[in-house]
Amino acid sequence: MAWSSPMTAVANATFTAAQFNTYVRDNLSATAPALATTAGRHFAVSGTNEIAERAISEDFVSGGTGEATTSTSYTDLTTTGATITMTTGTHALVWFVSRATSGSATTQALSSVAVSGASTVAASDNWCVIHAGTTSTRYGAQHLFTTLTAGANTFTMKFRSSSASATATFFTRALAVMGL
Amino acid sequence: MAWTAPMTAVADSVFTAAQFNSSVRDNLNETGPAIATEASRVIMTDGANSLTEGQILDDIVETQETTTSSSYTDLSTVGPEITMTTRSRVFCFINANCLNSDAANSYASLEVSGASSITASDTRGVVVDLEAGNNVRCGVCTLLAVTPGSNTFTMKYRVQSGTGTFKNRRLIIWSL
Repeated sequence: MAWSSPMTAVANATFTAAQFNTYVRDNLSATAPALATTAGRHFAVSGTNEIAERAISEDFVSGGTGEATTSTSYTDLTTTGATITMTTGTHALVWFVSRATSGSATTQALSSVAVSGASTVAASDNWCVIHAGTTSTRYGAQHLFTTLTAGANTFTMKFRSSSASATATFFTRALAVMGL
Repeated sequence: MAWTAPMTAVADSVFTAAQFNSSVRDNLNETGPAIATEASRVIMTDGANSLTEGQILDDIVETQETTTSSSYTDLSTVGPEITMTTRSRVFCFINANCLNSDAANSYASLEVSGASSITASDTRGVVVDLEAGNNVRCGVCTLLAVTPGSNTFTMKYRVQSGTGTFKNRRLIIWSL
């Protein structure tokens, strides 16, 4: 039921069942306790006078002894991901981390995040982690997606090398998504 | 109207208009749906029995620009920069693609002005140390105490030596 701005009671007026149902029952049913289903979640505004329960989820891929690519366009590795599917509004805050080597001192290993499902957003260098050098290092980046289509969205880490002649190798990968 | 602890009904008592307005109307007006105005904000606590909307905003400067300054400074395009009304804490996310012409450090950090005065510092920024000419992109997140009010958050840059180049600069601020 939608929220209605609560009525103002008037002394000596009859309080009807319809008024109770609209202003007490239906409004209480739109509040956080009524909508809460799962521990560890939060509430985001989904529209004027409307809130929705949203999740924070995480996925981790160990990558074993390393999974490699020489692709210069974003692609999946042998093990796809990390990947998370969740219901979001138009925004989502993501954290992504990878441990990687780029194959040489002058090339880079890049990891980014693509969105599919309700939305279609390609991985991009505009929001990526770039590793450089032959010594593996682990660090990450954050990105706020602001133009999603509300609904079930799948966030997937993607990877590429800066040069087709250099092998970018990725080890542990982690992705966290906060639905908004 | 502020939240008040809901009354306890007593059998055979009259339920007055004033009681309805205080315990039902005014309390409902303190709940999440009543205060929700803009999609994608987060419902946060604002104090005892009080809720508010928490904003998460971002700003982006993709342009590649340089500096040789060893103290924090602006690039040709200032920012990214976000001005928002905050409470006493913010979650800050700083991301940038950094490289240096020498085998020296490049730094990207955050300054806060307005209600607060917090200078950019190596202790809450990105520090990159690479082969000359190579580049990385990474980010950090910091939970920052600020003075409540209108605060402006601006990314700033410096180098240890050489010429630092920065692009794909992104700032996210979440008011808690």
